[in-house]
Amino acid sequence: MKKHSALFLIPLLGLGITTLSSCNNKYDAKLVVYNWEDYIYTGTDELGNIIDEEGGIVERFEKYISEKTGKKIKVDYQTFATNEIMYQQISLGSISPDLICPSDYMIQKMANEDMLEQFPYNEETKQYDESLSNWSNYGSPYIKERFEKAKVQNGKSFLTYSVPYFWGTMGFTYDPEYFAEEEISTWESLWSKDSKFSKQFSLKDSMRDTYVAAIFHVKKDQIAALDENASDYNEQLTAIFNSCDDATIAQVEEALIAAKKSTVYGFEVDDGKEEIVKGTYHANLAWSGDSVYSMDSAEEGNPAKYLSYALPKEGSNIWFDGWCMPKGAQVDLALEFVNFISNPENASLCMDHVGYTSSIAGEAIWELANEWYAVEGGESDEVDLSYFFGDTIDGEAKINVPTEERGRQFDAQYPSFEQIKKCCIMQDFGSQTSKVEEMWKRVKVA
Amino acid sequence: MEAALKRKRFNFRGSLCMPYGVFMALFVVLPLVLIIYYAFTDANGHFDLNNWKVVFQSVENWKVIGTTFLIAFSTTIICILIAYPIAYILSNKKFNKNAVLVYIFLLPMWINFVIRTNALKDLLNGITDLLFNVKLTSTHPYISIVIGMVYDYLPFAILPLYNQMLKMDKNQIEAASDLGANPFQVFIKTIIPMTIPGIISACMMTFMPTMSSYVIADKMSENSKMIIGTLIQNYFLKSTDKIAMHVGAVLSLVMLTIVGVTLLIEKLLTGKNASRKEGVW
Repeated sequence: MKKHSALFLIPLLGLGITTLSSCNNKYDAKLVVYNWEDYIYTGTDELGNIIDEEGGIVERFEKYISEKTGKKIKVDYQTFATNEIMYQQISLGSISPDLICPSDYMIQKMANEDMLEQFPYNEETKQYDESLSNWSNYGSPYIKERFEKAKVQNGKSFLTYSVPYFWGTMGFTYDPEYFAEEEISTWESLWSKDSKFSKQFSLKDSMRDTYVAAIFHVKKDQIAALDENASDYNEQLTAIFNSCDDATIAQVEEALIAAKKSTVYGFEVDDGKEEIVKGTYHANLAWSGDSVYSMDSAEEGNPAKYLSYALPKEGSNIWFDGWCMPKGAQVDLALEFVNFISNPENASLCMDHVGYTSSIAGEAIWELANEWYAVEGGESDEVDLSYFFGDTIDGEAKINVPTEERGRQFDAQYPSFEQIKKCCIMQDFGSQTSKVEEMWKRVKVA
Repeated sequence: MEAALKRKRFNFRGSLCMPYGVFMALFVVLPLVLIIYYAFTDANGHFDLNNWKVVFQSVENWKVIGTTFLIAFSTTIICILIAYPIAYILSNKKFNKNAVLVYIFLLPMWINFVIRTNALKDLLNGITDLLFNVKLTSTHPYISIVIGMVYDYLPFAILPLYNQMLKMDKNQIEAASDLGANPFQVFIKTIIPMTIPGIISACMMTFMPTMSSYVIADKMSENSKMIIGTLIQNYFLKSTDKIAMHVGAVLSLVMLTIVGVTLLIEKLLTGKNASRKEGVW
């Protein structure tokens, strides 16, 4: 019996090995890109039908390299659903991509744990070398400055380990017929005793994001005491924003459990952007890009509905997803890809397709923003976006947005400078992580 | 010669099971070994019992396990209470001439259960919103979870009961009433004893999946309550803690043990009827 079984296995194994080896050798190099789901221009519509003959970014990049170097390369494009899954897979070595696109706090964690290759970034001149010329020329000056100031444990800036891709803020998508803007544009609304607020908020089923909502509540006195005009205002706010000592964790727990019992409808990470359109609840804690999605699909609905986006006045989170190279990546090819996708033309394709705000400025992005939002004549506000576009475009970065469209898609994508200076970058909780995760479990069980 | 031929044929038939054996080894035994390995090691791969301490020292984990039991028990009981009369009616040839009615009850199972659960959630919320101006999944998550579980696992309870009732000896029931038993006594003394194997397997078929599934609980409680499946998922997918996967492995073993014990109980209860069969190996 036993011998027989071994005999049966041999052809099976042989078959497996030959199929595996036969699919190699058709290209000179392979670049493995591991990105979020729905986070790149694919050249296809929602149903997967090809709508662009030239293909998505992946196909265009393959063509670009073959034209530039004559080499045939293959991009193996894969997607992940959460930072945590991606982190576990890489630290276990079950995948070894050349490029990943994690969020800020995960970039910091991975850099601290020495899991990332460095980009050719000069800390003194604050510039990348030639290989990332597109980012050097067209990256938004504001995003550059924020990323430059954010440091990892060894004192190097975020830009050493990551090149920003998309960015956004976190706020409430809400139904303006139910909530007035003043009511909702504060974190305190989550702790309101008014029955109007009862079971009307959906929060993120993600510890790191929902922690933000509570920290602005439990630290409100400290935050109110800060001087908004101080030059290091954002640094001070960021320090409070990221505090995670035992006492703070306990306060956050208490606050979240109180909110859960009164104003919170439930937790979600995926279906909130649809539920808010359906009207299941009237406020959804949302990332700006998801909010744009909700507002768009509500408008297209029948009957059309108008939702708005509010960034709480106390401040909020500004998040980035950036390209990183895990240890052992093919640096040269990865740099080519990052530079390629940082070309404003390609960045605007991605931004148009994904709906989040690109970290790239430049003419192509400026044109896209104008195409989406600008009007001539009628009742409109002139908004100054020079903080974001700087000198990457010719002329002044001023755009006329219809007054009735304020507080909607445009403001979700390009918050005003006054709002954005109150937005803080998340940091990894470090050794407190397991305590916060335990706290989160208690909140969920309560 | 003849003996040799017979032996050869036996070998050939046995070896037809080899692909199945390979499948079992790769997808059942190997993952189990990995779970056990993770449960007893730390992040560096050294033998360590700390994971077990982490699991059992946490009050929340006990609460979650308790909640899961409560939900699984109530779901099972409600399922049996609903399924029993339905199965009885379906097994009656008068009502169910071509067994079409059975298919009507099994029909929902042809649709993906996530879609069904989402639809149920909206339906339930719509009704309670209309009647009491509340959304049930948000205000009463436990009740919603049980409703969702009952809805999804009811066919699993109906089918074994229905099969058992088809096999019921109708003469016994007639004899009981002829001999003067009232309908209640007939039910208690003849119908129930005859359907006990069906009841037990219906219990198993609902209890085991309710213990281990988490999608229904997540959806029906708007992610605001946890059952053991959610807890395991969180440890594996939402944590960056170095030992999270090891703790998750321990919890998986705990769940496996619970399911194993229920299977053992079923075996003990129905053991007399089960006939021993020769294994293929």
